[in-house]
Amino acid sequence: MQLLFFFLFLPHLLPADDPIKPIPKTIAYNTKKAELGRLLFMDPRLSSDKSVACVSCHSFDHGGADPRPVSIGAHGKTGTVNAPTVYNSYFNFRQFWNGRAKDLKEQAKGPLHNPVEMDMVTEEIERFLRSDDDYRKAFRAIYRRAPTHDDALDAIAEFEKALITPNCRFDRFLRKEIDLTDLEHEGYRLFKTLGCATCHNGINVGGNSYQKMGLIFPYPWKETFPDRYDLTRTPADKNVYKVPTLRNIALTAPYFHDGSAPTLELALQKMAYHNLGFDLSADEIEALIAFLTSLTGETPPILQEER
Amino acid sequence: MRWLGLKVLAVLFAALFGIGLVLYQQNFLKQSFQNTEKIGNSFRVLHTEFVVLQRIVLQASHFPYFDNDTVLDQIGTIRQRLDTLTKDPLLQSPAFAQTYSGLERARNRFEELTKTVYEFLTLNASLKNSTVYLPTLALKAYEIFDAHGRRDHRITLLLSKINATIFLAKNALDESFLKEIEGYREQLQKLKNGVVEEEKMRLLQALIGHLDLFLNIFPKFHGDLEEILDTSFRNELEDVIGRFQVESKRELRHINTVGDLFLLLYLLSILIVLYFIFRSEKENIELKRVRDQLQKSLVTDHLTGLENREAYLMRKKGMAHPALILVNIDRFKHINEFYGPRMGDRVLQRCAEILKEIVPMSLQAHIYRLGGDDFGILYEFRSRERTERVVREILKHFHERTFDIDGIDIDLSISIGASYAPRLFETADMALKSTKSSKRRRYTIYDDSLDMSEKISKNIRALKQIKRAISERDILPYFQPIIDLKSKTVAKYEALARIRTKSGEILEPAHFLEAAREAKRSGELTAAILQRTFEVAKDSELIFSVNISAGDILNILDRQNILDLLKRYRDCATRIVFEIVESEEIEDYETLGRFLDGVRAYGCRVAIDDFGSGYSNFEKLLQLQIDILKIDGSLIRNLDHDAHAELVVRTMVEFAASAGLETVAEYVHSEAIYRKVTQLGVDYAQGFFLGRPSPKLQHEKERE
Repeated sequence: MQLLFFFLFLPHLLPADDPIKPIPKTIAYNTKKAELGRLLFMDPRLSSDKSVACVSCHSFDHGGADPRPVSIGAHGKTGTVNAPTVYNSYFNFRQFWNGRAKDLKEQAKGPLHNPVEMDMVTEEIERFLRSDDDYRKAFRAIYRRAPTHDDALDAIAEFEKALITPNCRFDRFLRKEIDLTDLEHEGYRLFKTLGCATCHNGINVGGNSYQKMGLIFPYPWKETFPDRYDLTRTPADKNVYKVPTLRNIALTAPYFHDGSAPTLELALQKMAYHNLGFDLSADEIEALIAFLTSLTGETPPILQEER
Repeated sequence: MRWLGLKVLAVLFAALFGIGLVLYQQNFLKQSFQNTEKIGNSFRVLHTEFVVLQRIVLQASHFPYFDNDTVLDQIGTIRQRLDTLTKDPLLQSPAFAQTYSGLERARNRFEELTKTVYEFLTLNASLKNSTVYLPTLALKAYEIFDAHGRRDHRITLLLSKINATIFLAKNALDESFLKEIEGYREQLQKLKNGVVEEEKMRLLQALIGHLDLFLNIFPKFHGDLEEILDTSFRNELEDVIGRFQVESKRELRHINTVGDLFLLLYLLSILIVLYFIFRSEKENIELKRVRDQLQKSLVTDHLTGLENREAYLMRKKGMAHPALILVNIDRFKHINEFYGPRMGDRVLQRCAEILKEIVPMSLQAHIYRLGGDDFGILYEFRSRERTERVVREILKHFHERTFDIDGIDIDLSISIGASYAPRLFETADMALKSTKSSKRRRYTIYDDSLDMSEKISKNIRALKQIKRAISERDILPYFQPIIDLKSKTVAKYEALARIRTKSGEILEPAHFLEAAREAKRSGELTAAILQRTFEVAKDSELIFSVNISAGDILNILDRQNILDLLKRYRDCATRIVFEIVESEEIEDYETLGRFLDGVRAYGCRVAIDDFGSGYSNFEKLLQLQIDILKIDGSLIRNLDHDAHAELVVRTMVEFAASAGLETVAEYVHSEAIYRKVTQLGVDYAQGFFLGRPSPKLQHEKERE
């Protein structure tokens, strides 16, 4: 009971501390499932024209995100959204820009079936997996049955769980392993005082609430935007998105749901304008970029092993 | 055996069942307590967790920097607890329907609250964004605007007012400040219109934007916060906890009732066991009764209800010094034939009753029916005197009364043989036989002299002697003179049988006569003696008397032999007197009569020997045309001092005289007797006083 109360009041005992928490250095996951998940993640045969894999839009060379403003799916179809990073997505409170999936497994279903993404149906996926000897063996070994759609999603989610980028400079600072540069310190101070941290906080520096883009000066809205309004049809939810993580933000250009900001500087200016109503000075931008770059972590261990 | 196995199994099963029930109930109760405790605890923790969530939300609204993860984590914790509770089998059971429905409602309410929390987080971030940025803007404004310019001064002053008011409104959560802020916004808008500098205008523009944002979302933010912080969800939880307490109390009562039921079942199973034990006991008792009955019938004589020979044998085995009195009903065969077997049975029953009645309790005797009309009384021997006392008592009872059996008066007489020697039954039977063969004695107590086995071997020896003696002419007549008491001279001789043994010893009839009779060989003896007597008689003028038994006469062969001899020695047959020994009852007077007629035809005369010793039938005897009466020696022997005997002899003599019969006195062993018989008028006398039996005749001796 004592222990219980201790945990219950732990948050209360840590007031006004750093609003950002480091991600763990390692995470426990099922290796076999994750390895199978990696195969599936990399396999373009899971798309209707065998051209698109998960990794096509969540590139490991671009911080787990898509370098193109909007993603291109099977049969060359163009999407409407810039793919967010798959790295550390396990720490998001919901998945997708508007948080319509409650977890990674539910999320993985989306792109597989989306006509402008991988364009598959359940039966096709299963038929393919069962026709392939390697997959059949691998699924049998792990799930003790023939490959199923659900088990495939489970494996992919397990792999994605392993995609964490630990030991970024800022995490190491938080763990008091290193000190930040003055510029980075200045950037962190600005990050807090300019109000960025009110939305970008927690373990994933975002990904833990829905917020509106364009609080002061409205952001131009399009019907195709994947916002909360798309789900709720409440006018107030227009341009309301799940706050994206800022981890590895230096690697995941272009920025925003529409990929409309090709550089960090432009992204910062846009955010300052729409949500603060003011421009940032060059010094402020330099400091903020220094801080944001300190959020770039190591390549996920599961991907390092390959090399 | 199979039944026993089943019963043991049933008892074991019932016992195990009972223990099982009790253990199950104990475990069930314990589990229920634990489950109830666990869930009750969970509800209380849930309540606390929600209070913590409210606190965190409050923190989120106040702290400028806040990690939203803490809110989400807390929501996750609560959501998981609600899930776990909803999935709990106990709460899903019908007994907790009220709790469950309350829980479901609370869970839905929480999901709604979660949405509010998400909205709050959105609004909170926007609001904080502004409340954090407004002072920043103000600081910037102090740098841009000229503190000495009248309008610029008013603007910076207004900015200070705005910051202060928003600070108050936000921290006091007081919507009444909104009107003031709106006013400030109007003023700011007016002042802005006069500003031309690009930088100043943009700053004011942003400021107005932030103010608009604040004005726009603060009421909603305030509403959300109030909704999250109000007590409705907590009340709902408390309601659920209340329901749970009611229902768990009811459930425990229910379990207790079930426990009582189990106890009842347990008791019932014990009752069943008891019933089985009782039944088996009853069966055992019944079996034992039947067995006893069977055993009793095995050792019981059904007719008299006395124990039988088997029982006697069993009882005797366990005794130290057993004594046995054998009681036999005289002439029972006669009763059976005369009155019928039914009456015979009644007589046996009556005898059994009487024996039970009269055998003294102090004897601690057991009474048995040992055979047809044989009763046995078995007891521990103490003294011969006591045995004799008991025997006399029994005899007295039987002989002093007449028995009325089914309206018929019957005189029962009994014979008794008793023994306390080894070979108890055998010796008692010998004693009984001895009684039977005696005419006067009514009881005999065994001693070794009665041992028939000795007698039997003697008999066998005797029979062998007789057989040899007959074939080797070793049957010798010894002659005893019979004196005429008037002339005092030897009138005749009685030929007495003797056997000369191989070693030359001379045996008197006492040693062989009875055996010969029993073996039906006395006729041969008689014939042999007659033959030898004739051999002597033919060379003399003397008269000889020869003994012949009624049995000899009734035997056709012997009869013929005798008649043949008479025929052969026809010349001297007239000097032969046949003495018929009245040792046994004469039944066939006709045959006897005819024989006597036959011998008389040869001129023989006939005497009755031992007259007065048996049950002489006077009339029948007279019809036989007897010539001589030989008065029984037992009457003569004590004649000199027995007045009674004298009277009898006198009567006999008078009777003989009047019937024209001669009389002979035997056993005249003294002069006194001699004188007496002379005095009484007896015709002839014989005895040791007058002459002992001798192989030679007296006159021959005298001649020598």
